[in-house]
Amino acid sequence: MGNNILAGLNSIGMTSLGHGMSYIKQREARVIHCTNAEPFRGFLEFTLITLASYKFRVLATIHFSNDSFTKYFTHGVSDPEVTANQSYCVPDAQFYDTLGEMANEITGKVKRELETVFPYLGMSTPNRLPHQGFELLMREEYQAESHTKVIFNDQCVLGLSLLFAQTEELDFVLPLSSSGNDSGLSLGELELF
Amino acid sequence: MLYSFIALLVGIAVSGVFFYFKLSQVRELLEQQHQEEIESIEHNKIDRKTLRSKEQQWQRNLSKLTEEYESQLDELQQNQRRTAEQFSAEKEKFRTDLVRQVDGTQQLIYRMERNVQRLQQESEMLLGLHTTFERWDESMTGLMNQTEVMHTQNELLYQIVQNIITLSLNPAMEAARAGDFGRGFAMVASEIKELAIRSEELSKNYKNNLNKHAVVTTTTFQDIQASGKLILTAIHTKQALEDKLEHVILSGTQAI
Repeated sequence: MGNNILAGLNSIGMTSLGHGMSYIKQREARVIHCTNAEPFRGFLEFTLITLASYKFRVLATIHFSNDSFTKYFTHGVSDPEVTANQSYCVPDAQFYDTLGEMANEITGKVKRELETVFPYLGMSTPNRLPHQGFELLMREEYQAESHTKVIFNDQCVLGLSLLFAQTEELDFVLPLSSSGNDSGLSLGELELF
Repeated sequence: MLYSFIALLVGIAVSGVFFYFKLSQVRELLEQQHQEEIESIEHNKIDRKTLRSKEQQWQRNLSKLTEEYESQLDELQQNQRRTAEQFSAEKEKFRTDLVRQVDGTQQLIYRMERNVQRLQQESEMLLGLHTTFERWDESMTGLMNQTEVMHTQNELLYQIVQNIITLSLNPAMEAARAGDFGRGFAMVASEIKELAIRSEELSKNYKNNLNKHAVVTTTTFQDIQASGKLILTAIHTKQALEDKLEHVILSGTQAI
Protein backbone atom coordinates (compact mmCIF):
# COMPACT_ATOMS: atom_id res chain seq x y z
CA MET A 1 0.00 0.00 0.00
CA GLY A 2 2.83 2.41 0.92
CA ASN A 3 4.43 1.95 -2.51
CA ASN A 4 1.12 2.55 -4.25
CA ILE A 5 0.58 5.75 -2.30
CA LEU A 6 4.14 6.90 -2.97
CA ALA A 7 3.85 6.21 -6.71
CA GLY A 8 0.50 8.00 -6.80
CA LEU A 9 1.84 10.99 -4.85
CA ASN A 10 4.93 11.26 -7.07
CA SER A 11 2.76 11.19 -10.17
CA ILE A 12 0.28 13.69 -8.76
CA GLY A 13 3.11 15.95 -7.55
CA MET A 14 4.73 16.06 -10.97
CA THR A 15 1.55 16.70 -12.91
CA SER A 16 0.16 19.18 -10.38
CA LEU A 17 3.28 21.29 -10.55
CA GLY A 18 3.29 21.00 -14.34
CA HIS A 19 -0.35 21.97 -14.71
CA GLY A 20 -0.72 24.17 -11.67
CA MET A 21 2.00 26.58 -12.63
CA SER A 22 1.77 28.35 -15.93
CA TYR A 23 5.08 29.98 -15.00
CA ILE A 24 6.93 26.74 -15.58
CA LYS A 25 6.08 26.69 -19.25
CA GLN A 26 6.50 30.45 -19.66
CA ARG A 27 9.95 30.40 -18.07
CA GLU A 28 11.03 27.12 -19.63
CA ALA A 29 11.60 25.67 -16.19
CA ARG A 30 11.94 21.97 -15.45
CA VAL A 31 10.06 19.87 -12.94
CA ILE A 32 12.19 17.20 -11.36
CA HIS A 33 11.26 14.55 -8.84
CA CYS A 34 13.60 14.08 -5.88
CA THR A 35 13.74 11.27 -3.37
CA ASN A 36 13.82 13.47 -0.26
CA ALA A 37 13.48 17.06 0.94
CA GLU A 38 17.24 17.77 1.07
CA PRO A 39 17.20 20.16 -1.93
CA PHE A 40 14.75 22.37 -0.02
CA ARG A 41 17.04 22.96 2.96
CA GLY A 42 18.19 26.35 1.69
CA PHE A 43 14.70 27.82 1.36
CA LEU A 44 13.60 30.39 3.90
CA GLU A 45 9.85 29.96 3.90
CA PHE A 46 7.11 27.56 2.90
CA THR A 47 3.40 27.70 2.24
CA LEU A 48 1.30 24.97 3.80
CA ILE A 49 -2.12 23.71 2.66
CA THR A 50 -3.96 20.72 4.13
CA LEU A 51 -6.21 18.34 2.23
CA ALA A 52 -8.31 16.39 4.68
CA SER A 53 -10.55 13.36 4.44
CA TYR A 54 -11.83 11.24 7.29
CA LYS A 55 -9.26 8.57 6.47
CA PHE A 56 -6.15 10.57 5.68
CA ARG A 57 -4.73 14.02 5.18
CA VAL A 58 -2.22 15.35 2.72
CA LEU A 59 0.00 18.27 3.68
CA ALA A 60 1.07 20.16 0.58
CA THR A 61 4.01 22.50 1.04
CA ILE A 62 5.52 24.93 -1.47
CA HIS A 63 9.12 25.80 -0.58
CA PHE A 64 10.45 29.17 -1.60
CA SER A 65 12.56 32.15 -0.57
CA ASN A 66 11.57 35.75 -0.75
CA ASP A 67 14.38 36.87 -3.05
CA SER A 68 14.75 38.63 -6.39
CA PHE A 69 15.41 35.40 -8.24
CA THR A 70 12.12 33.88 -7.07
CA LYS A 71 10.33 37.15 -7.65
CA TYR A 72 11.61 37.16 -11.20
CA PHE A 73 10.30 33.63 -11.63
CA THR A 74 6.85 34.49 -10.29
CA HIS A 75 6.46 38.06 -11.55
CA GLY A 76 9.43 38.66 -13.81
CA VAL A 77 9.69 40.33 -17.15
CA SER A 78 11.12 38.50 -20.12
CA ASP A 79 14.77 38.99 -19.23
CA PRO A 80 16.57 35.69 -19.57
CA GLU A 81 19.78 37.07 -18.10
CA VAL A 82 18.34 37.50 -14.64
CA THR A 83 20.45 36.41 -11.71
CA ALA A 84 19.86 36.17 -8.01
CA ASN A 85 21.67 39.50 -7.52
CA GLN A 86 19.35 41.55 -9.69
CA SER A 87 16.53 43.14 -7.80
CA TYR A 88 12.93 43.49 -8.94
CA CYS A 89 10.53 45.79 -7.28
CA VAL A 90 7.78 43.33 -6.40
CA PRO A 91 6.14 44.19 -3.08
CA ASP A 92 6.27 41.39 -0.52
CA ALA A 93 2.51 41.37 -0.11
CA GLN A 94 2.03 40.86 -3.85
CA PHE A 95 4.72 38.16 -3.89
CA TYR A 96 3.15 36.26 -1.01
CA ASP A 97 -0.30 36.58 -2.58
CA THR A 98 1.04 35.03 -5.76
CA LEU A 99 2.68 32.21 -3.80
CA GLY A 100 -0.61 31.62 -1.96
CA GLU A 101 -2.53 31.47 -5.25
CA MET A 102 0.09 29.15 -6.69
CA ALA A 103 -0.22 26.86 -3.67
CA ASN A 104 -4.01 26.93 -4.06
CA GLU A 105 -3.76 26.08 -7.75
CA ILE A 106 -1.33 23.22 -7.22
CA THR A 107 -3.17 21.77 -4.24
CA GLY A 108 -6.46 22.14 -6.11
CA LYS A 109 -5.00 19.98 -8.85
CA VAL A 110 -3.81 17.46 -6.24
CA LYS A 111 -7.32 17.46 -4.79
CA ARG A 112 -8.95 16.82 -8.17
CA GLU A 113 -6.54 13.92 -8.80
CA LEU A 114 -7.26 12.41 -5.38
CA GLU A 115 -11.00 12.89 -5.77
CA THR A 116 -11.01 10.41 -8.66
CA VAL A 117 -10.52 7.67 -6.06
CA PHE A 118 -11.71 9.31 -2.86
CA PRO A 119 -14.65 11.69 -3.25
CA TYR A 120 -14.77 13.37 0.15
CA LEU A 121 -11.95 15.87 0.51
CA GLY A 122 -11.77 19.27 2.12
CA MET A 123 -9.06 21.84 1.42
CA SER A 124 -7.77 24.49 3.77
CA THR A 125 -6.56 27.98 2.94
CA PRO A 126 -2.78 28.47 2.59
CA ASN A 127 -0.56 29.67 5.44
CA ARG A 128 3.00 30.86 5.23
CA LEU A 129 5.59 29.71 7.77
CA PRO A 130 9.35 30.07 8.31
CA HIS A 131 11.20 27.13 6.77
CA GLN A 132 12.44 25.91 10.15
CA GLY A 133 8.86 24.85 10.63
CA PHE A 134 9.19 22.37 7.77
CA GLU A 135 11.91 20.49 9.63
CA LEU A 136 9.59 20.27 12.62
CA LEU A 137 6.81 19.12 10.30
CA MET A 138 9.05 16.38 8.93
CA ARG A 139 9.55 14.96 12.44
CA GLU A 140 6.01 13.60 12.24
CA GLU A 141 5.40 10.16 10.79
CA TYR A 142 4.03 9.94 7.25
CA GLN A 143 3.02 6.86 5.28
CA ALA A 144 4.42 8.41 2.11
CA GLU A 145 6.10 11.60 1.06
CA SER A 146 6.85 12.98 -2.36
CA HIS A 147 9.17 15.83 -3.26
CA THR A 148 9.41 17.69 -6.53
CA LYS A 149 11.54 20.68 -7.41
CA VAL A 150 11.36 23.36 -10.06
CA ILE A 151 14.63 24.19 -11.76
CA PHE A 152 14.92 27.59 -13.38
CA ASN A 153 18.16 28.93 -14.86
CA ASP A 154 19.89 25.88 -13.36
CA GLN A 155 18.77 26.81 -9.86
CA CYS A 156 16.13 25.27 -7.65
CA VAL A 157 13.58 28.07 -7.46
CA LEU A 158 10.63 26.26 -5.83
CA GLY A 159 9.84 22.92 -4.28
CA LEU A 160 6.69 20.93 -3.67
CA SER A 161 6.36 18.35 -0.91
CA LEU A 162 3.29 16.17 -0.50
CA LEU A 163 3.14 14.46 2.89
CA PHE A 164 0.58 11.69 3.24
CA ALA A 165 -0.67 10.83 6.74
CA GLN A 166 -3.38 8.21 7.04
CA THR A 167 -5.55 7.84 10.10
CA GLU A 168 -6.78 4.36 9.22
CA GLU A 169 -6.03 1.56 6.76
CA LEU A 170 -7.00 2.63 3.27
CA ASP A 171 -8.83 0.54 0.72
CA PHE A 172 -7.98 2.45 -2.41
CA VAL A 173 -4.94 3.08 -4.55
CA LEU A 174 -3.88 6.58 -5.48
CA PRO A 175 -4.12 7.22 -9.22
CA LEU A 176 -1.07 7.35 -11.44
CA SER A 177 -1.85 10.52 -13.32
CA SER A 178 -1.17 10.30 -17.04
CA SER A 179 -2.07 13.86 -17.94
CA GLY A 180 1.26 15.47 -17.22
CA ASN A 181 3.31 14.98 -20.37
CA ASP A 182 1.41 17.13 -22.80
CA SER A 183 2.88 20.52 -22.10
CA GLY A 184 6.41 20.09 -23.36
CA LEU A 185 7.73 20.20 -19.83
CA SER A 186 10.58 18.07 -18.64
CA LEU A 187 8.41 15.92 -16.46
CA GLY A 188 9.43 12.58 -15.12
CA GLU A 189 13.12 13.33 -14.61
CA LEU A 190 14.63 11.79 -11.53
CA GLU A 191 17.47 13.15 -9.49
CA LEU A 192 18.96 11.34 -6.56
CA PHE A 193 20.36 13.17 -3.55
CA MET B 1 -115.63 -51.74 -101.27
CA LEU B 2 -114.86 -55.35 -100.72
CA TYR B 3 -111.25 -54.67 -101.14
CA SER B 4 -111.53 -51.94 -98.76
CA PHE B 5 -113.25 -54.27 -96.31
CA ILE B 6 -110.59 -56.91 -96.84
CA ALA B 7 -107.88 -54.38 -96.44
CA LEU B 8 -109.54 -53.28 -93.25
CA LEU B 9 -109.73 -56.80 -91.98
CA VAL B 10 -106.14 -57.42 -92.90
CA GLY B 11 -105.23 -54.23 -91.29
CA ILE B 12 -107.15 -55.16 -88.21
CA ALA B 13 -105.52 -58.55 -88.21
CA VAL B 14 -102.00 -57.08 -88.52
CA SER B 15 -102.74 -54.57 -85.88
CA GLY B 16 -104.09 -57.35 -83.70
CA VAL B 17 -100.91 -59.32 -84.14
CA PHE B 18 -98.85 -56.27 -83.52
CA PHE B 19 -100.81 -55.37 -80.39
CA TYR B 20 -100.69 -58.94 -79.22
CA PHE B 21 -96.92 -58.92 -79.63
CA LYS B 22 -96.60 -55.61 -77.85
CA LEU B 23 -98.91 -56.73 -75.15
CA SER B 24 -96.81 -59.83 -74.59
CA GLN B 25 -93.76 -57.65 -74.23
CA VAL B 26 -95.50 -55.36 -71.75
CA ARG B 27 -96.76 -58.32 -69.77
CA GLU B 28 -93.23 -59.75 -69.60
CA LEU B 29 -91.85 -56.40 -68.45
CA LEU B 30 -94.51 -56.04 -65.83
CA GLU B 31 -93.89 -59.57 -64.61
CA GLN B 32 -90.19 -58.80 -64.39
CA GLN B 33 -90.90 -55.62 -62.48
CA HIS B 34 -93.23 -57.43 -60.20
CA GLN B 35 -90.59 -60.03 -59.54
CA GLU B 36 -88.04 -57.33 -58.81
CA GLU B 37 -90.43 -55.62 -56.48
CA ILE B 38 -91.05 -58.86 -54.65
CA GLU B 39 -87.33 -59.38 -54.37
CA SER B 40 -86.89 -55.85 -53.19
CA ILE B 41 -89.59 -56.23 -50.59
CA GLU B 42 -87.95 -59.38 -49.35
CA HIS B 43 -84.62 -57.61 -49.20
CA ASN B 44 -86.15 -54.58 -47.41
CA LYS B 45 -87.67 -56.90 -44.88
CA ILE B 46 -84.17 -58.13 -43.98
CA ASP B 47 -82.74 -54.50 -43.87
CA ARG B 48 -85.51 -53.34 -41.62
CA LYS B 49 -84.65 -56.07 -39.16
CA THR B 50 -81.02 -55.07 -39.19
CA LEU B 51 -81.99 -51.47 -38.91
CA ARG B 52 -84.24 -52.15 -36.00
CA SER B 53 -81.48 -54.11 -34.32
CA LYS B 54 -79.04 -51.29 -34.99
CA GLU B 55 -81.54 -48.74 -33.82
CA GLN B 56 -81.96 -50.62 -30.59
CA GLN B 57 -78.18 -50.79 -30.23
CA TRP B 58 -77.94 -47.08 -30.93
CA GLN B 59 -80.62 -46.32 -28.43
CA ARG B 60 -78.80 -48.35 -25.81
CA ASN B 61 -75.54 -46.57 -26.65
CA LEU B 62 -77.30 -43.26 -26.61
CA SER B 63 -78.80 -43.97 -23.19
CA LYS B 64 -75.42 -44.99 -21.91
CA LEU B 65 -73.77 -41.97 -23.42
CA THR B 66 -76.48 -39.72 -22.09
CA GLU B 67 -76.00 -41.16 -18.64
CA GLU B 68 -72.25 -40.67 -18.88
CA TYR B 69 -72.71 -37.20 -20.25
CA GLU B 70 -75.12 -36.26 -17.52
CA SER B 71 -72.79 -37.71 -14.93
CA GLN B 72 -69.85 -35.76 -16.36
CA LEU B 73 -71.96 -32.66 -16.63
CA ASP B 74 -72.93 -33.07 -13.02
CA GLU B 75 -69.31 -33.49 -12.03
CA LEU B 76 -68.34 -30.53 -14.17
CA GLN B 77 -71.00 -28.37 -12.63
CA GLN B 78 -69.89 -29.43 -9.18
CA ASN B 79 -66.28 -28.64 -10.08
CA GLN B 80 -67.33 -25.34 -11.52
CA ARG B 81 -69.23 -24.54 -8.37
CA ARG B 82 -66.28 -25.53 -6.20
CA THR B 83 -63.85 -23.51 -8.39
CA ALA B 84 -66.14 -20.51 -8.29
CA GLU B 85 -66.34 -20.79 -4.50
CA GLN B 86 -62.55 -21.19 -4.25
CA PHE B 87 -62.00 -18.29 -6.64
CA SER B 88 -64.37 -16.14 -4.66
CA ALA B 89 -62.58 -17.04 -1.41
CA GLU B 90 -59.16 -16.42 -2.97
CA LYS B 91 -60.39 -13.15 -4.42
CA GLU B 92 -61.62 -12.05 -1.05
CA LYS B 93 -58.38 -13.11 0.61
CA PHE B 94 -56.34 -11.34 -2.08
CA ARG B 95 -58.45 -8.20 -1.71
CA THR B 96 -58.00 -8.27 2.07
CA ASP B 97 -54.25 -8.86 1.71
CA LEU B 98 -53.98 -6.13 -0.89
CA VAL B 99 -55.84 -3.67 1.28
CA ARG B 100 -53.63 -4.63 4.21
CA GLN B 101 -50.49 -4.27 2.09
CA VAL B 102 -51.57 -0.94 0.64
CA ASP B 103 -52.31 0.24 4.17
CA GLY B 104 -48.91 -1.02 5.29
CA THR B 105 -47.16 0.62 2.32
CA GLN B 106 -48.98 3.88 2.94
CA GLN B 107 -47.96 3.78 6.58
CA LEU B 108 -44.40 2.95 5.55
CA ILE B 109 -44.36 5.79 3.04
CA TYR B 110 -45.79 8.11 5.66
CA ARG B 111 -43.10 7.05 8.14
CA MET B 112 -40.43 7.43 5.44
CA GLU B 113 -41.75 10.87 4.58
CA ARG B 114 -41.59 11.84 8.23
CA ASN B 115 -38.05 10.47 8.53
CA VAL B 116 -36.89 12.20 5.35
CA GLN B 117 -38.38 15.44 6.65
CA ARG B 118 -36.56 14.94 9.94
CA LEU B 119 -33.33 14.17 8.07
CA GLN B 120 -33.78 17.30 5.99
CA GLN B 121 -34.38 19.35 9.14
CA GLU B 122 -31.28 17.84 10.73
CA SER B 123 -29.25 18.54 7.58
CA GLU B 124 -30.40 22.15 7.74
CA MET B 125 -29.33 22.25 11.38
CA LEU B 126 -26.01 20.60 10.53
CA LEU B 127 -25.40 23.26 7.92
CA GLY B 128 -25.50 25.63 10.86
CA LEU B 129 -22.08 24.11 11.69
CA HIS B 130 -20.83 26.50 9.06
CA THR B 131 -21.02 29.32 11.60
CA THR B 132 -19.22 27.13 14.15
CA PHE B 133 -16.44 26.47 11.63
CA GLU B 134 -16.25 30.18 10.90
CA ARG B 135 -15.95 30.87 14.64
CA TRP B 136 -13.13 28.32 14.94
CA ASP B 137 -11.54 29.82 11.86
CA GLU B 138 -11.66 33.26 13.43
CA SER B 139 -10.22 32.00 16.73
CA MET B 140 -7.45 30.07 15.00
CA THR B 141 -6.60 33.04 12.79
CA GLY B 142 -6.41 35.15 15.96
CA LEU B 143 -4.13 32.54 17.54
CA MET B 144 -1.89 32.46 14.49
CA ASN B 145 -1.73 36.23 14.32
CA GLN B 146 -0.79 36.22 17.99
CA THR B 147 1.99 33.71 17.26
CA GLU B 148 3.26 35.98 14.52
CA VAL B 149 3.25 38.94 16.91
CA MET B 150 5.18 36.84 19.43
CA HIS B 151 7.65 35.95 16.66
CA THR B 152 8.15 39.61 15.85
CA GLN B 153 8.51 40.54 19.52
CA ASN B 154 11.00 37.74 20.04
CA GLU B 155 12.99 38.95 17.04
CA LEU B 156 13.05 42.41 18.66
CA LEU B 157 14.08 40.91 21.98
CA TYR B 158 16.84 38.98 20.22
CA GLN B 159 18.08 42.19 18.62
CA ILE B 160 18.03 43.97 22.01
CA VAL B 161 19.95 41.12 23.61
CA GLN B 162 22.51 41.26 20.79
CA ASN B 163 22.87 44.97 21.42
CA ILE B 164 23.29 44.40 25.18
CA ILE B 165 26.04 41.84 24.48
CA THR B 166 27.80 44.36 22.24
CA LEU B 167 27.30 47.13 24.75
CA SER B 168 28.52 44.99 27.65
CA LEU B 169 31.96 44.76 25.94
CA ASN B 170 32.61 48.50 26.38
CA PRO B 171 32.05 48.66 30.18
CA ALA B 172 34.30 45.65 30.56
CA MET B 173 37.06 47.42 28.63
CA GLU B 174 36.52 50.62 30.61
CA ALA B 175 36.60 48.73 33.89
CA ALA B 176 39.88 47.04 32.88
CA ARG B 177 41.28 50.44 32.04
CA ALA B 178 40.30 51.76 35.51
CA GLY B 179 42.31 49.00 37.22
CA ASP B 180 41.43 48.19 40.85
CA PHE B 181 38.85 50.99 40.94
CA GLY B 182 36.98 49.42 38.13
CA ARG B 183 36.95 45.88 39.51
CA GLY B 184 33.41 46.12 40.91
CA PHE B 185 32.18 47.68 37.72
CA ALA B 186 33.88 44.91 35.74
CA MET B 187 31.98 42.33 37.75
CA VAL B 188 28.70 44.08 36.99
CA ALA B 189 29.63 44.30 33.30
CA SER B 190 30.51 40.62 33.25
CA GLU B 191 27.22 39.73 34.93
CA ILE B 192 25.33 41.84 32.38
CA LYS B 193 27.15 40.08 29.55
CA GLU B 194 26.41 36.71 31.11
CA LEU B 195 22.73 37.63 31.46
CA ALA B 196 22.65 38.85 27.86
CA ILE B 197 24.18 35.58 26.61
CA ARG B 198 21.64 33.58 28.63
CA SER B 199 18.89 35.82 27.27
CA GLU B 200 20.17 35.17 23.73
CA GLU B 201 20.05 31.43 24.34
CA LEU B 202 16.61 31.75 25.85
CA SER B 203 15.45 33.84 22.89
CA LYS B 204 16.75 31.19 20.46
CA ASN B 205 14.91 28.46 22.35
CA TYR B 206 11.84 30.62 22.49
CA LYS B 207 12.06 31.18 18.72
CA ASN B 208 12.36 27.45 18.19
CA ASN B 209 9.36 26.84 20.42
CA LEU B 210 7.40 29.55 18.63
CA ASN B 211 8.19 27.83 15.32
CA LYS B 212 7.01 24.55 16.76
CA HIS B 213 3.93 26.28 18.13
CA ALA B 214 3.27 27.88 14.71
CA VAL B 215 3.54 24.50 12.96
CA VAL B 216 1.26 22.75 15.44
CA THR B 217 -1.24 25.63 15.40
CA THR B 218 -1.20 25.88 11.60
CA THR B 219 -1.57 22.15 10.96
CA THR B 220 -4.34 21.90 13.57
CA PHE B 221 -6.07 24.98 12.19
CA GLN B 222 -5.83 23.69 8.62
CA ASP B 223 -7.00 20.23 9.64
CA ILE B 224 -10.08 21.75 11.31
CA GLN B 225 -10.70 24.07 8.36
CA ALA B 226 -10.33 21.35 5.71
CA SER B 227 -12.34 18.83 7.75
CA GLY B 228 -15.06 21.45 8.22
CA LYS B 229 -15.29 21.88 4.44
CA LEU B 230 -15.33 18.09 4.07
CA ILE B 231 -18.20 17.84 6.57
CA LEU B 232 -20.15 20.59 4.80
CA THR B 233 -19.63 18.84 1.44
CA ALA B 234 -20.86 15.58 2.99
CA ILE B 235 -23.94 17.35 4.39
CA HIS B 236 -24.70 18.86 0.96
CA THR B 237 -24.35 15.40 -0.62
CA LYS B 238 -26.65 13.98 2.08
CA GLN B 239 -29.17 16.73 1.37
CA ALA B 240 -29.12 15.95 -2.35
CA LEU B 241 -29.75 12.25 -1.56
CA GLU B 242 -32.62 13.18 0.77
CA ASP B 243 -34.19 15.29 -1.98
CA LYS B 244 -33.92 12.34 -4.37
CA LEU B 245 -35.45 10.03 -1.76
CA GLU B 246 -38.28 12.47 -1.21
CA HIS B 247 -38.91 12.53 -4.95
CA VAL B 248 -38.97 8.70 -5.05
CA ILE B 249 -41.44 8.61 -2.12
CA LEU B 250 -43.65 11.18 -3.84
CA SER B 251 -43.65 9.09 -7.03
CA GLY B 252 -44.49 5.98 -4.95
CA THR B 253 -47.42 7.76 -3.25
CA GLN B 254 -48.79 8.91 -6.58
CA ALA B 255 -48.44 5.35 -7.98
CA ILE B 256 -50.48 3.94 -5.05
